[in-house]
Amino acid sequence: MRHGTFEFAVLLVIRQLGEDGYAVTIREALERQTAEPVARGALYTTLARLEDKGLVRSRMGEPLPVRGGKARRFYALTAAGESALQSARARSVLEWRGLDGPLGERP
Amino acid sequence: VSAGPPALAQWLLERVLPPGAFRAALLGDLEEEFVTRKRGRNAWYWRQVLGLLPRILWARWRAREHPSSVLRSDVPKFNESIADMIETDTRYAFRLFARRRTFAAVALITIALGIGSATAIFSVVDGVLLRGLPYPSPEELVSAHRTFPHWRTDPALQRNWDRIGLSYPDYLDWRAQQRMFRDVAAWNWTSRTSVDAQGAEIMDVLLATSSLLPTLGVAPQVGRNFLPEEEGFGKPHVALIGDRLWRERFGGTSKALGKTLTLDEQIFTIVGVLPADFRITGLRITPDVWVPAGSGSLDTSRVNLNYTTIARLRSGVTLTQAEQETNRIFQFDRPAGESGGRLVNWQSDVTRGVRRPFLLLLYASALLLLITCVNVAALLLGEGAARDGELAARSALGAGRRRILRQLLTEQLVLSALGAMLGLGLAFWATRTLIGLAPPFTPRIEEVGVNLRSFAFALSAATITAIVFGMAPALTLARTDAGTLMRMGSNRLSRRRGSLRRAAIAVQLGLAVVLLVGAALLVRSLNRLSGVSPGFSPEQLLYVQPQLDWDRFPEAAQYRAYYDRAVASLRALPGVSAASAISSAPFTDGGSGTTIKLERGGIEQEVNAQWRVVYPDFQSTLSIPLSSGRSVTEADGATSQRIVLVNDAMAEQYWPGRSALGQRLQIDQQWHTVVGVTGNVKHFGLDQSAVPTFYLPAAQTRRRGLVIVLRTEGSADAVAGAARARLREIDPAVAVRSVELAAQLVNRTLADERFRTIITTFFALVAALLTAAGLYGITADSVTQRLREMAIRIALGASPKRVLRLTVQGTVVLGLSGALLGALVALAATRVLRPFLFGITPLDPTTYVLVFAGTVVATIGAAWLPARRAARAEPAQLLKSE
Repeated sequence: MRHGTFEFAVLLVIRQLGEDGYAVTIREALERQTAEPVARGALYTTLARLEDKGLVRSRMGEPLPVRGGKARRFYALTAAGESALQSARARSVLEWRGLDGPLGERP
Repeated sequence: VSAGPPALAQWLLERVLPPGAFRAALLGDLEEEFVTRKRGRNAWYWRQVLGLLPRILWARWRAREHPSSVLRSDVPKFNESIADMIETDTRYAFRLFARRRTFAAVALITIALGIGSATAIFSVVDGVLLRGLPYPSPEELVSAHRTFPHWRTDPALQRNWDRIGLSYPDYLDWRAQQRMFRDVAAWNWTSRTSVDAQGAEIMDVLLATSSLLPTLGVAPQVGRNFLPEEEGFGKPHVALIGDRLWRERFGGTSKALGKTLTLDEQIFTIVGVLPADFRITGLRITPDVWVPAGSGSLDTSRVNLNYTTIARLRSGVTLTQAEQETNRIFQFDRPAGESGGRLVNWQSDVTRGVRRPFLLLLYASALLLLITCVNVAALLLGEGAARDGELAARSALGAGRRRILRQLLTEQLVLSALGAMLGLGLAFWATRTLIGLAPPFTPRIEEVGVNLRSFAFALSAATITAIVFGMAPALTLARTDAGTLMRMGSNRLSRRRGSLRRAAIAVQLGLAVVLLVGAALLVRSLNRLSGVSPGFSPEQLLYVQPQLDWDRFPEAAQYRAYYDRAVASLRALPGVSAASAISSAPFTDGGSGTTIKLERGGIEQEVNAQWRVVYPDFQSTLSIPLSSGRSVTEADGATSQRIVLVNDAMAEQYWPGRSALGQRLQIDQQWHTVVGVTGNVKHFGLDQSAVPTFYLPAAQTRRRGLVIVLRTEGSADAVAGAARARLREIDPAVAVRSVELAAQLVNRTLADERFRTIITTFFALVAALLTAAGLYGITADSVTQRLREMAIRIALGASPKRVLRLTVQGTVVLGLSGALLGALVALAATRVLRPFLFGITPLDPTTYVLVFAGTVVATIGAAWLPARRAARAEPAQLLKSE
């Protein structure tokens, strides 16, 4: 899976999950949709990278005993994330059109 | 049943993730999934962690440039937190020192003294003993000595049996035959007179082989080195000159090459200039002029063993292998077994005389450093009482034990760092003082300085001492949590600490006693040594040495005629009461030995002895007592009967229980009759025993190298100037090599002893002062703590005297136990002093009693001063203030 595509998939899943997406649910949803196992490390580093890029934001939930007293980190798209998702979608459409797209343009 | 995920895996993960929310979320996610699993969940968890580790490490590494990455956002925070903490701790430490100025000042001075003195001594020891010689691959350089094993048994010669030089022909043989060295080289120094418009000047001249500079790995800064074919007698006269002469006389330009110099009426052409600051390590002089070896008038003979030799080992050749070869070659023309060779690493050879004394000083400074460290530890423990409340408050507010420990150690490090900085400043000054105090001719002293190595030494000493000696007080202080404080009450706690502090002071006192005993032994030894009579009277005795060139005075008669005139003329100077001349005047040089025959019980026997050539009245001028017979007189001329005087040591050795008078010695194939016996005169040092010596009238020998001796009345300095002027009048072309006070020469032989004694004594006094201050402090604190108790005692009718005794008692018991401990340690430790002591053993009871008594008096003094306050306590006032 190409890097950009994985980021795109993660953004998409976060958007689908609304305000309730955290790493565990995001990973479940990803695996369901792509029908491929998702490497835990890839997900966490991608989440971190997306956050670094300002495409997603995170908030901490309440500490839960079942998690050893640790809180969940919920992810949501930022405005930049939303527009990135849209332009990625547009690019992906161009790719689907194959030769119709302007030459030399790359995602 | 393990409820949680594997702790080790979790711990691992925590290490690679930045602390913070991201890490917490990740760990939480894993645990959440972990608890939903049933079988093999530990293995699952491990798999997850091991899968995560490389990716996270990789991602964190990639994010290292990203200032606000989630994977890094906590990283700067993490680093910042440590930096913050250090800054906070440091600022806190400074605030503390500002608040407790006396404590901080005393601690700083103490640390600075310890580190400063240790660094200064280290700098000297490093420059002289440890650092490699200033040549390329100095470890390959060895010095070669000739050995005469049969000299070992002879009291007159044994001093030098394994340190004999080579003659120039010997050197040539060695160079031709040796295979173990890359090159061998030799030198010999002499002095020549250079006459120019200003008058006669004596110049130190080095006769050097052309291999010397290449062996050392040095090249001339201008011009060229000697060529091998320029060595030897009767070759073209070429010279290398030193940097100073080049700049002063030849303008410091390459035009100097080809110019000439006149030495002893011979003209030398300058072919090169030696590098600036170049000197041959261990050579006491820095000759201005080098001429090729073999050109000296004595260099064709195998008898003059004047050349000092060094060699550079071939790589892969061991010292032992090379020594075997050298030992074989160094037999030269002697019968088998009479002459051998010995190799020593050049650096050790040059510094052999100072190794032990300098190491002794290093031990002494280490001891002082230890004392200052213990002193600071005791100070910190004493501070403890004042800080209990503060630390308890901090721990009550949530500071952990480790946090407090770190705070305390930071204070230590700050204190030590400041102390080290001060100490380094002190070391700069102290090193310069040490160089000034160092005995004359201390090898390599010119290479000593405070440098990066000293700096590193000071820094590591400071850090190590801060951690080692700050740990104990910090640990006892960090133990103070709010609960303990409440349960125990500050009094009990500080009492526990008080006993630790008392132990520290007792140890410090013990160490100080070791230093004091050592210093006292050295002082007493020096005292005894300087009390030893040299066998003549060096006070107000002047040695005047004119330099007579062989070329201008080739005949012995000419030489003697000059001296006859000079001695008579100087005797007539105002302020001179007696004048004479002697070869190898006492304490001037290495003396001169020879082999003679004597008759003993009708059998002729070969013996070795020291010999001197003397003018009439030598014995009254030098104030050497005459044991029997007569002295040399004017009547003992060239044509009269050959006579000789012997000293007591010679008379006792060869004619014990009999009169030496009338005995006969065969000297230089001529029989001489003993007409007088003189007292023994020391020559090399006050600690040396007398060597058999005989005296010949100058008129009956051809020997040169006489020194004029003048007994003065009043100021010797005034006479010195007049003597120089008078000699110039007699013959302006004769330069005066030196005018010296005999007393100064004798005194100079004590320079080594004085140097180590002064420094050790200084260390001991500093140690004593610090310890006394420590004792004072501990009594003062205990008085403060027990003032209330004392007030009550006084109120209940105890006499102030009794209260005083009570307070002093504790400190005195402490002092006594420390002093006893120290004395016991000193009994063992002062054994290292044995080689440095003269006329006193390291176990000298008087010294121990003196030091012990002094310690007791000082202890009582240090305890009594603050204790007076307790005795003067006003009960009413004190109890009211509580």
